[in-house]
Amino acid sequence: MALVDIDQLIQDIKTSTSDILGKDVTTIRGFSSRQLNGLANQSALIASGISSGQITPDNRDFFLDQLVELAHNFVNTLVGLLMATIERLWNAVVSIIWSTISKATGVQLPAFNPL
Amino acid sequence: MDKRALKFNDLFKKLIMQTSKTSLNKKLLNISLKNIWLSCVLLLSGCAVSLAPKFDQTIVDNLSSTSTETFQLLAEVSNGTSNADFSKREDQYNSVIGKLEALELQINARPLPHNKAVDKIIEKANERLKARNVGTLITTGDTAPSATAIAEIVKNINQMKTSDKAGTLTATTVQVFKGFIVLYFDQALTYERFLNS
Repeated sequence: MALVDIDQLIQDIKTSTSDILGKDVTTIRGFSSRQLNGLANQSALIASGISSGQITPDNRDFFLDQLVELAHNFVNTLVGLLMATIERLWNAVVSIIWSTISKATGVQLPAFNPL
Repeated sequence: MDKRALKFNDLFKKLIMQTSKTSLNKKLLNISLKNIWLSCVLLLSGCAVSLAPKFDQTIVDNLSSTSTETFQLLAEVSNGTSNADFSKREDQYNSVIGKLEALELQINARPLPHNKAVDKIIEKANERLKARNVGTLITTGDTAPSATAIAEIVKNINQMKTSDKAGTLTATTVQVFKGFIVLYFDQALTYERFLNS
């Protein structure tokens, strides 16, 4: 008789990772949508302000630089969010394996400390 | 020693070595599944990684309170301003800038994890982007994106203060400033809250 039910282990891992991914993807999707819409609206507003003379040349240059910086940090924020998701997934998978081994062997393993 | 004795010694030595190997093999075969699993566990315990900084509720709270004060300032200048009464608003600008800079310092003071594998992936990604003339795009390993977002908000408030003093802060200009500030606060708050698993 196998010490570990492999099918059950796989199912446990799948359930846990799906939960994490589902929640995280929803947050990331919403964030991306807000940022991309915001970037588009800002671009239109700046263009309109420049052509109507409401935006001075100094502010125009500043705003155009800001469009680049905003897009740049949007990418960096996305990368940061993805890294946090990967870390959560990794910790969840290792934690499930740890618990399965502990139950299967009856060996009291040292507590798993996710980082 | 005669030749037969030497030959026997030789054979005996070889026999001893064979027997030892067999014993060793038996020992290896006799290692229980528990020990193999334990080895896997020990191996896995060294595999945990840290890819994101630790969640800090104080940072989230300070982000919320600072954003409130920033939007109060923006509401006050939303219809454009005259530089004649700039002195009435100067303290408010300085207060908001001071709080934002303190918040940026707080975020930067939190340790950022570094992972060699991730650093390599980011390096490769930036190389590909450079090859497409995009330049270095991903800099997330050096500074938290929330800290960068706050630094950019400070730049916006400073530019707004300069415009106000110069008498060029129109309603449209304020609207553009507000748009950038909202998006940067969104980046900072979304990132910081996301760290709370």
